[in-house]
Amino acid sequence: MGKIVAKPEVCIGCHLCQIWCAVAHSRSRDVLKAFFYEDPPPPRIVVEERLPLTFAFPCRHCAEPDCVFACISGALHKDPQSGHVLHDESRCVGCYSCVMACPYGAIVIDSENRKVVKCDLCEGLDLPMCVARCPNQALAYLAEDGA
Amino acid sequence: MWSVRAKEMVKANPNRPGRRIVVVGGGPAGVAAAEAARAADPDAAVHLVAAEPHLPYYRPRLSHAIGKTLKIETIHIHPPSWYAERRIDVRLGRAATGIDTANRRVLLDDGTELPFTALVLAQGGRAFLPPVPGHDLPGVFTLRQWADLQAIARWAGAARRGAVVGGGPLGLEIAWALRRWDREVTVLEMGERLLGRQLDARGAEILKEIAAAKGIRALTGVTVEGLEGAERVTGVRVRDAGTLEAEFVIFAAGVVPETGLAREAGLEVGRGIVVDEAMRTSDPDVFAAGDAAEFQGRVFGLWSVAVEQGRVAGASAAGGRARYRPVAPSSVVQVLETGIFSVGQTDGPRVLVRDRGPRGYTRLVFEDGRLVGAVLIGDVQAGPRLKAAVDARTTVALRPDTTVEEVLHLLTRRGR
Ligand SMILES: Cc1cc2nc3c(=O)[nH]c(=O)nc-3n(C[C@H](O)[C@H](O)[C@H](O)COP(=O)(O)OP(=O)(O)OC[C@H]3O[C@@H](n4cnc5c(N)ncnc54)[C@H](O)[C@@H]3O)c2cc1C
Repeated sequence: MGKIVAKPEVCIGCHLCQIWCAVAHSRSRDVLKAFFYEDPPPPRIVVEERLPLTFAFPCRHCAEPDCVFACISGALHKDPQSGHVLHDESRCVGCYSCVMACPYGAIVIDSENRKVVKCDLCEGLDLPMCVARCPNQALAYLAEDGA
Repeated sequence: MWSVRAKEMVKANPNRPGRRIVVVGGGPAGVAAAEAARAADPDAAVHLVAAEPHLPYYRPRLSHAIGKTLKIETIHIHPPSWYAERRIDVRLGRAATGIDTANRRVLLDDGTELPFTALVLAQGGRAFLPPVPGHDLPGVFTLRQWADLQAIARWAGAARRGAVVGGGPLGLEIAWALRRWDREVTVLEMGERLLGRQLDARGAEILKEIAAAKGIRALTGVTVEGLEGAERVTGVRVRDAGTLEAEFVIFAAGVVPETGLAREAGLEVGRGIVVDEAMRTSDPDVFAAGDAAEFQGRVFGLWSVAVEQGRVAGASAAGGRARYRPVAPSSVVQVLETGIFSVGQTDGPRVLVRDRGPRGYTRLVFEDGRLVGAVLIGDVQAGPRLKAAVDARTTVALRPDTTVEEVLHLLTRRGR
């Protein structure tokens, strides 16, 4: 099971992970088009400041995901093969139970669509976009547990 | 080597028959219980008795499905194969009608008797229909089960004007679904406020404005005295306010835990079936979970609680040592396309407010310099952090001119 890990000691709080996350989930997947011509979707990764530290909060894709247990509509599920915690937006009713349940604050409200969005590890790409674009290697992708 | 043989001996010993775990109720609590029981004991017989004639489904989807076409297969919690793979014997459309505690048997409505070594009661709750005159007229509904949704869809499909009794989350969800379906809707709430459990007076006023802007009339502080009509409902009689015409009326006035069987079986019952942290009732071999259960004096009526309690009840029924850790119940809802978050007290000695009406409302309540409550209308992303801050009774150094923005930034630490 893959997941993204954050290293706050080298995070410089540049928020590029958020920008590229939005691009990765935009229609065009192009940074200029996404931000100039489309309404970029909300980034699915959160950056918090506790200055001088800043740190990114990606989804942990938990083994026992509280968000999945709290989901009242069947939109959130843990893929039995990959172990990824995935969200089917077509089933989301926007009750935000998962937002309250996640201990990491990793589920984001898409206020435009009144649903939630969450990290899908950029399935289909070699590396999650936030990891690939982090300029200081403050985000890393672990392909397997503990790897 | 030895342990394997020992296990075989235990199995072969006719004096040590395996566990037989019977779960009554096919809601999230029952499903979670059956799953956990199977996981804890691969050899037990696990039965799931479910009165509704469908596989367990995502019940909260019902209110969103009014006026839409929805196939029940698309909202099943699990497909049929999931139960088969786990060797869970599902009895659909079968209601338990009695518990014979002396002989450790559950009686079903088709005359079957299911012996058990452990029993999990997860019958949930039923919608409360106040016994006002006319409550049994055709055209009067509650919404709890799939069959209720079908009945409402058939009736309201041919009607224009409806009333919803109850201004809580469910009542407002139903009202919005009807409105979206182009029906005329009036919400009747007995209390002084919409979402009276979640909101302060100003917040509730804003919500009323939001309702009005969406074409929903909301009347608060009104008492329904009865329903008018001979063959079918034609109106709602409201105390001191005459009669409101309505071709159908949907009550969303609370949920009553299903405790009949437990009571008859002599189990301790308060508002719900009383359980300890292992979800054990007053009978050591009987467990309860979900909307039917009362834990530390509370019946939560929430999906996430039903799942968590079900998991504990199922594991306990299979001899495990799971303990229920009360998940702090979610205090966020979305009604009328508006996110609403509330935690703790809605009033106190020091209150900071940012009031942009229907475009956004934030209320932070302090006592002795500590955050003791908060209300958000509109953007609720800060909810979890505010809840954590209230749970931790976080101290905030307030100046006379401290703003809501400053406190939010301090507590949520969101960058830009
Ligand atoms: C329209 C609607 C919207 C909701 N929205 C939300 C929401 O946004 N957030 C949230 O947290 N919760 C919501 N809820 C509440 C949530 O659905 C319940 O808390 C949850 O379903 C409780 O689960 P349960 O397993 O305890 O009981 P239930 O889901 O009620 O299931 C119990 C089952 O047991 C069956 N049963 C009863 N008696 C017997 C018997 N004697 N024999 C066999 N079977 C029996 C019943 O037919 C029922 O199918 C909503 C509920 C409704 C109806």
